Amino acid sequence: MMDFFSNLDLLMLGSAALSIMLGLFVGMLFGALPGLGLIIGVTLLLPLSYAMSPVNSILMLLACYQGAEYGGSISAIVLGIPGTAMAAPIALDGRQMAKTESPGKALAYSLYGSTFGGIFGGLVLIFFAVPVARFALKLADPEFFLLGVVGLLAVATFGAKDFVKAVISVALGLLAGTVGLDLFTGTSRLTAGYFELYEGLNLVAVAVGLFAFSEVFMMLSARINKAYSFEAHHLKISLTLREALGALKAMISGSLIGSLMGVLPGVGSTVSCWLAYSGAKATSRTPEKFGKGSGEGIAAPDAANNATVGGALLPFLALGIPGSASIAIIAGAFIIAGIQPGPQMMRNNPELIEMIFIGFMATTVGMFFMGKALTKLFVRALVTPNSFLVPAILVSSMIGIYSSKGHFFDLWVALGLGVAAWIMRRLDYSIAAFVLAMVLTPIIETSFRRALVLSQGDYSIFYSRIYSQVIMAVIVGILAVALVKSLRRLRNSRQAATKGQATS
Amino acid sequence: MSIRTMNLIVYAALAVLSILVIRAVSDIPVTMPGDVGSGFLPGFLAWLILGFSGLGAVRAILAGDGGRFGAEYLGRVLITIGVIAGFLLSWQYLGFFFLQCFLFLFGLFTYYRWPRGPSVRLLVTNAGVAAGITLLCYVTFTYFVFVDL
Repeated sequence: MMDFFSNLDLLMLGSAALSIMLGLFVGMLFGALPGLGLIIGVTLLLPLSYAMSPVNSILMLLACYQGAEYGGSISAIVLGIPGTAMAAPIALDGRQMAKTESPGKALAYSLYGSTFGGIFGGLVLIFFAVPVARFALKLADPEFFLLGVVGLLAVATFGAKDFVKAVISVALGLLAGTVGLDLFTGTSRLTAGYFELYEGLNLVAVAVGLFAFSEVFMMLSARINKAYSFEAHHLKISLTLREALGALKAMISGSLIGSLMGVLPGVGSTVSCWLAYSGAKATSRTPEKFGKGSGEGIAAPDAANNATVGGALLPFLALGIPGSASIAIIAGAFIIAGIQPGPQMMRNNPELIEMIFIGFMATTVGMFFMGKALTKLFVRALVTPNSFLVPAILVSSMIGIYSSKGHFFDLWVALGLGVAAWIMRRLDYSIAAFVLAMVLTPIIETSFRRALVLSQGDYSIFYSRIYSQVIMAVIVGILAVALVKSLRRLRNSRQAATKGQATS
Repeated sequence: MSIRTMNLIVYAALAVLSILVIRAVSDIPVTMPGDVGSGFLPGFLAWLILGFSGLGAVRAILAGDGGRFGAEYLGRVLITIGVIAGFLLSWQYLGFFFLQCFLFLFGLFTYYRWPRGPSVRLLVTNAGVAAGITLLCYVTFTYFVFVDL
């Protein structure tokens, strides 16, 4: 560690700090603006990775992730409209406190909770990533293949409304990941003769098309000249020591739940937020205050939100398996820099890992100070109508795509995917599963084929080792959950149909 | 159009895509002993999509209409898609990015905000915001990201 500090120079620190600030600013702003949110913020920043060092671009995207988790609470508290899906439980007590006490105090509970959760998640990452990665070095290709399958199945099962459409989304994402030259044989696949596709589909174009363009079309399908209004006073973001200590237990329980949920692929912040809210209510001395402006009711889900970030990074950095769409897009920064996350990275690039760990903690601290200083600004940004936001997002998206590789072809791909995603999102297909699958394709395909080549085509290699057997048991468990969920949904829809017939 | 019809159209499109993929990868040879070949995964996924599309289609036929698949302000979405396509074409073939960017922004601002009531103030505001964003893009991408737009 001392060697690490002696190698640091001021210029490197300055550029890292600027990257973190940019990420935090964009994250908080996009998190705060209803309808935009975390993934679009991360997606629009991703192209800047081409002009940055790997460490700076990764820190910028992580800062954006952290900032957006807090930013989502701003509109939930000030307007009662969660800026992100994760901030929905925060609106319950946050809006009430904003009405009955002051919006500043509610925002302060949110910021303190986010900061506590961020630091907690960071510590989980720091203390567990290296042991997990060390263990992962014992895993071989069959296990990595199976781990990739676990990630995909979890996303299809837990994160989707419709299992059939989730499976199709995953399969389409995997298919998109196979486009280009095959790494094993150099054969071109599904390129239709376009040289722009030889290196595969441009991840920036895919992410921007699927998330930013489709979201813009969604925004255009609603009222876009609606301007939100609120009373912009009592916005001092501070808590007394007593108030902060009063919410400490909720922050700890929220952080624990958030970190744990973050590690599990496909679960993410939304679930962890609601669990943290319920957990804090169950263990509170004043559960009757929940829903009526409880500080604990704001701090717990916010702590869970930000603790999820550290938790979600753990399997990604240690195993190379992203567990959510946001992490999959952040994985893009690694891919752009030519770095393969996973146990080998932990062993071969310890400096990078240390920078990420330290930068992650700095990001959380930076979020606290930027939140204190700039929340009023983000609150005022809420009045920006979508009629101004939509064209601005379109332009920044298009420049972002073009600046990634300089191909107009990618812009057309993004537009086509944006239109397709706009239709398919409305039919309950999962674009998050698509992107995650696309990013996981190289890991899954390479591990699968290499394992078979090593075993001379013997498929028993996938279940002959104890590690594979454990992962296979997890796969069976996930499939069982999917089956139970499908049967329950079928039963509910039949019951609803029977009730409908009875009433008519 | 009903949601069921739209679902069936999408399943049909996915089936066509799958068949095209299966045809495209069917003749890729296996060159390494033990390997399943470059065409295995895309082919397998195409069959999977085909199978699940069939399953989804049967389910959609058995289910009810599911309501109407329409979009409010559909015209606005389609016009925007057309304007984006026009902007991309003009950028690709004319190449005056920042001038075109300003016009693109000003045009869309004015189109979206026109229902608020046309006025000189609205036009001036739109032009000001469009110029501001264009300038920001110019400074950011020319001097910080070093992209030749």
